[in-house]
Amino acid sequence: MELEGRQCVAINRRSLFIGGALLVALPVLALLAAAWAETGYISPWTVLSDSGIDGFIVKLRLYRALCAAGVGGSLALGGAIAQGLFRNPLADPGLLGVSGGAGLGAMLGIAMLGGHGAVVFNAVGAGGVSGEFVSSLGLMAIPAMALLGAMLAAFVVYRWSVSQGQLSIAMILLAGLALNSLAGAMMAALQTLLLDDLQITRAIVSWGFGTLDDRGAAHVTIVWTGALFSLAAIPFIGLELDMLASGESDAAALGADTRRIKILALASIALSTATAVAVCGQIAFVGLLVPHLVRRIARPRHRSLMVLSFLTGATLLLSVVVIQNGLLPELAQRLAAAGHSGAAMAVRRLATLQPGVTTSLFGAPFFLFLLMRQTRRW
Amino acid sequence: MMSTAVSIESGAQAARATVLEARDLIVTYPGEIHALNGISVEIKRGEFVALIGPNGSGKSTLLRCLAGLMVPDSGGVTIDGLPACGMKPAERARRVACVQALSATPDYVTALEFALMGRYAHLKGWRIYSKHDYDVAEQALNLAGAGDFKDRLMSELASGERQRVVLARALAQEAPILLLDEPTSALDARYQIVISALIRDFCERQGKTVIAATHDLNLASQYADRLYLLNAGALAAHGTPAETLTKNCLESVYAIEVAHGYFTETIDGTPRPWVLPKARREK
Repeated sequence: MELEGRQCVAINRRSLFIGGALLVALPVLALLAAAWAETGYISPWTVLSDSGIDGFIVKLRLYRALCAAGVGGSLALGGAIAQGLFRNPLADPGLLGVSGGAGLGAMLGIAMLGGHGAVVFNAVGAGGVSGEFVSSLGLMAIPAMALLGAMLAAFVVYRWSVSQGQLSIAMILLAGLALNSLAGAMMAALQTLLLDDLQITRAIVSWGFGTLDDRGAAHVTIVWTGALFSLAAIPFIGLELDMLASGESDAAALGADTRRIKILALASIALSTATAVAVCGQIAFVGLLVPHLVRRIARPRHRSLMVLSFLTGATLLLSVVVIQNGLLPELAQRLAAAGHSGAAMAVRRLATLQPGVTTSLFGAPFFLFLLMRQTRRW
Repeated sequence: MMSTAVSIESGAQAARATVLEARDLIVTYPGEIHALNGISVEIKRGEFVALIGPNGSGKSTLLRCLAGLMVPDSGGVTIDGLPACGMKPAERARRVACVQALSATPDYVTALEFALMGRYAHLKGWRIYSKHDYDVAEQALNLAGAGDFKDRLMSELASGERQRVVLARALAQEAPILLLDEPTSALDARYQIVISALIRDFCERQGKTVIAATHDLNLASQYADRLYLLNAGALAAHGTPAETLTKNCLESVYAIEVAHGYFTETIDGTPRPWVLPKARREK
């Protein structure tokens, strides 16, 4: 018995230690991502002094790094909250229909930007949106539309799940599922219709697996707004999600305002997922995997689970950026210099994979591995 | 005879305030099943009341209504004279602690952390537990006989141990009214007595009010001041144990034959009835 007690304290300390380590690792990784990428090493401090091309490049890399950290953290945090709210360790922030809505919105945004898309919009009388206006919106059209789609989806799912003032978790799951498949079907239809527009098709495929390239200050603002909102919710849903584990009625008996908690948790999931998906597309597995990973290494009470999930998710995606844009190109260069041109080519190809593909490629086998050793220690 | 049991603890029985009252409660579940069919109860401060009755007679539904966790289709519940449905959850939880039959507990928290959840209604602002909250939770665990395993995880506890931790969590709420749904169902003989005596002590010494739904007729008879016998959502009988647990009444409500008699070595010297269902073969 005594041993158990000490173990728990030790594990609590470990959570604190891991959190601290991640907090230190994040800025280091961000600086590394800013200094070291496919176009070679530049001192990250040039961004402060140099207003020329080097400073500009570092700035772009920093935006990418900040986006990666924000997106990874948001998705992981959304996953942690969803798993607590739905009382299901296999819940994913995408379950809310938010990612489906974001996907459809983004695709419409891509379609609006050019090619047949503009023609279609003209044909249905949306021609008032002039080509110049659309191009001046530039890349922002896609995240803006995705955000709109995600929020619309979250709202519809929420309205659907409330009956007689009661918010039903089961209804949320069902409505989210239905909405996701509806959005999926509409996306498939749209994709088929726009298939012979190569540029649009490329953009859609690229968005589908997530991309972190060419991000600007606006993207950073969007994703961190969502992330900060969800982080700010932690003190108000952390204990409450632990209490919900023994049932809604039990939590209510302890004095929890279950309706407010559910709404706050849903809003956090919706906002963090929507902003993340809006900014960089679908990054699979982070939302599902990271909270699981945290549960293995730390004590999964929801307050610490949520904070650690955010930090781990941010570190994970930032590491992917550093590996793909810094480590792999460097490796390719070394290999080429050593005469292994075939290997260098392969590594260079690997470096161009989208982060969503990379997380899935490594995440899925790792997840299966975790499932196989289900022997839980607590 | 019936009033002596009560008058020992409080001479001014008539002056005791009503803390919990339900008027003409009707609850209908889908399928036109009346869970409660016009029940009225009135509970005074410091009373230990037991709700008994067959499965599905409406005990748990009545408890949930009294705790303000369920809004009846008609009729109303007042807690300390105030309508239960108008209270904020935290305010209600500071007045009434309710232990329901739990289907699950979070398996990743320790018994102490679980008991701390009882302090939730007292938290303010950023919801950080204070030293006082920890003290109250530990004391509650000790009272409920769960102090020895406060640092063990809920998933490691036996069902009876877990039940005591759940009770401790309700005690940590420090509410003057305690509603308990089968508080002794998983307990061994020793802890049935320990917990029942503890509840009795709460009522007598701290002036707390306890309403417990139970299937253990003998335990209810030995410890409760008053009993409500429910049948099909209505009151079949109520009053002191001797008034409620009569042979005729029990045999008709439970549709069994019972052996019936009186204990004399009771907590207050008043003879209290005992009941033993007679064995029978499948017809």
